Amino acid sequence: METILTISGINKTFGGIRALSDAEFSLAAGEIHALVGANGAGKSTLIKILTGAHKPDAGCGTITLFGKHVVIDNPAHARDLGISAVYQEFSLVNNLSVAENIFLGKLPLKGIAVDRNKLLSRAGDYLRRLELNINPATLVTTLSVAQKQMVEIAKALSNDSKILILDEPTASLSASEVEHLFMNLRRLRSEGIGILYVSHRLEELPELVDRVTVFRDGRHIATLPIAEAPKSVIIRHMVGKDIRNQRRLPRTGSDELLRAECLSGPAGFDNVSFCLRKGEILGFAGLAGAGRTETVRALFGVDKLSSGKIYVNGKEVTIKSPRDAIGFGMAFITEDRKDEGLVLGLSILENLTMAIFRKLSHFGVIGGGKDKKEASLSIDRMGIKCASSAQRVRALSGGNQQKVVIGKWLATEPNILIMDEPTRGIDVGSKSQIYDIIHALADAGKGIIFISSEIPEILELADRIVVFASGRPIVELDPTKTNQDEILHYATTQDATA
Amino acid sequence: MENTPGDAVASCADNRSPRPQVKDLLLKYSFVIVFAILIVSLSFASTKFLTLANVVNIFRQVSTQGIIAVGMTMILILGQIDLSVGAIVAFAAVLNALFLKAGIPIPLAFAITLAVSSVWGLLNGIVTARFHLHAFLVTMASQTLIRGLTYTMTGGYPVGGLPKGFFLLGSGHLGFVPFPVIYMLVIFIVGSFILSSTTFGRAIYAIGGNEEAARLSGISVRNVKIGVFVVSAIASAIAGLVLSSRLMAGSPEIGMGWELDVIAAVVIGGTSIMGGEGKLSGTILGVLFIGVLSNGMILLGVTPYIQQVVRGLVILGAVILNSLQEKR
Repeated sequence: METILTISGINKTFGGIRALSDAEFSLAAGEIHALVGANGAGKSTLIKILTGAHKPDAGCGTITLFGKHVVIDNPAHARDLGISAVYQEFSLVNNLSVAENIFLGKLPLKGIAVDRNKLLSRAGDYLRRLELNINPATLVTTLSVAQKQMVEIAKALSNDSKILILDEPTASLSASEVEHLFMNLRRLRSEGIGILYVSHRLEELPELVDRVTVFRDGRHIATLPIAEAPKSVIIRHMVGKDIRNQRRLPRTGSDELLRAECLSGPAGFDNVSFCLRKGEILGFAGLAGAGRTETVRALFGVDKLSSGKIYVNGKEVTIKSPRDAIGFGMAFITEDRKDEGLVLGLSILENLTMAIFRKLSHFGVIGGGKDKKEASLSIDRMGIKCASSAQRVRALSGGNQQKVVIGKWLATEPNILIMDEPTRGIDVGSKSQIYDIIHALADAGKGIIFISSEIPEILELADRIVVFASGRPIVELDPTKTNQDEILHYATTQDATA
Repeated sequence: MENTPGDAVASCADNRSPRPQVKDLLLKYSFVIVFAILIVSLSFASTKFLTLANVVNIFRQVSTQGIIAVGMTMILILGQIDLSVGAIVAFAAVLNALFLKAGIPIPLAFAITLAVSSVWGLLNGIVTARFHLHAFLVTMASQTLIRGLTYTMTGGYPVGGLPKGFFLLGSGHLGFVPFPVIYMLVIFIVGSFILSSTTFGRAIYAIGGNEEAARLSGISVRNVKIGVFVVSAIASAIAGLVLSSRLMAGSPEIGMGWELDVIAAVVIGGTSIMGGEGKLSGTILGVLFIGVLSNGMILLGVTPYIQQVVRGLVILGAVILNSLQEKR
């Protein structure tokens, strides 16, 4: 196969942090090449260099495209060179039609007006090529995530792209949507397009990709044909060591920390009761929208509770705001770290001390560098990679950002921790670190409500599993006596009374 | 990623920044450089510019708006805006003048005026926070309301004939330093301390950066919002007292359009109108910059109309510069 893209010796530094050092990568025509690595390994940086969003450090390394050295100036230039990318966050304009989005910036004209017939028919051609059964005149806002993704790919094809970059394309797709995507990618491969495929889902690689390249800490670690790279090998390259897979002994019978009785609320949960004991990890399994997040948000005083009682350490309490909840020793690691967990424009120090600065202060004054001490303590404890605690959180990788969120809450010394999807979208290495932290907290006698949509993760971590469906707990299961199929069976129960 | 919790100290230490490039430094301090160039060229253009009398004059002229700018900086960092400051300047001036005319002792009149004026901040803050409105709308309404009320209180006429002792507040000196300059500097120092070293200050930055994250972290968003609007109202009322002392009258016409002048100074000083970032050290430079620019243009005999044009261009240049720095 003909190599169409070669990257060699590329460096990229952001404010003192090396994001890429001596990066190597190559892509052949008609190849699907997976790029994997932990968060902060340099994948996003590499993609952004290829699409012209970032420029590599001057003076070293080369990018060779179709046998010619190129310098990619900006995204428009990348597109002209035949490189297109589809990110997790789409760049579609919601209030325009599918056809207009595909041809945005290059709308076919008749005189000075847009040639609407030509626009729709040409857009229709691309959609048919992707076996996408939607009307090109449909507004993008009405499409599903999977359909929007296909529109993005159609847009790339309309640019005559020879290199297609996909960033975590399956992160929010259902199984059948993934199948449709793969079918299309295989077809594009057979048409000679080179596809750079970034994913955390290592299981899906064997059925799709030809080669896999692993990055770690900004460096190229290995490039292997997929046949020689089973999951265990990839993981070893990603983390640089074997990951322990241990189960701790389940604990039962100690004191009750938290009890919820018949909680109901307008946000979509009804008659939820459960209890949490000391040193226990209570898993909440279920599908998105089953009422798990909604319940804990109300429990923590974020949303309203319309009825029900909450007991902390056996005493009934009223929680009207997050501040009340924190006062009762609760902490809430939300599922959306960027919107709810962090202030991205502020420093690591300010984020880490955000929930405790009242504790660090004396009559409202934070003195004596107490906040600095507290922050560097958290940075050490959580293993946050950073230049200094004054660095802005925005500049950190996803895994490190998540560690800042957890560090912020651990600083409050909570007894009850609610963790909503704490490992979503982060890499294997950071995941195992977060598991270690959760185990350590349970061993120290904290109670943990662990919400996760990854069933294997819940099975491995939880002492008890409560399965939610249609806004209420359906069943409580013992993780040692159940399996993925049974949990899925309950989670997909439509009629909650069954 | 190989770090287990506990051994990250090393990784934090060995990622020292490389030497920043000259271009970055120039951009970062571009405002200071422009300011310095302005001062140097004015001192060549006019022999009067760098005299002690003129420098004192500049400081005194910016002092009233400077005091308001402290509150406005906090407001902008919070991600809000306060259009009612100019109206509160006039309200405080008139209310205090009425009290003084009624024979109430000066200190007591000050105290009641500040207390009553702070209610406007309370109102702005409570309505903004309670109904989740943007303060642009709330304070746009309240400034009209306050200004109208102020006119009603005097029938539209200035209140004169104030006691001699009142003169001291705005026109007194300590050595060659006018009192208003001292108020401004003290308020800046107190404001900087609040922003950098108190829980209130930290909460302002957190809410301005991400209100939801701040609320989930246990910060009382409502109380902080109300508090900042009260600070802004009190700062405006102090400016109103000082200004009316210099005029020896309580006029309902003063402070007209000041909200925009003050916002311009704060923004020139590098505070983002989107909230979450900004510093008072920048604001004082912004305030002085506008003062020096106006003073220089007057010394050089530039007509008032052209002065406005220049000020407009300067504000535009400053916001463009800030957005360039933002991208770094």
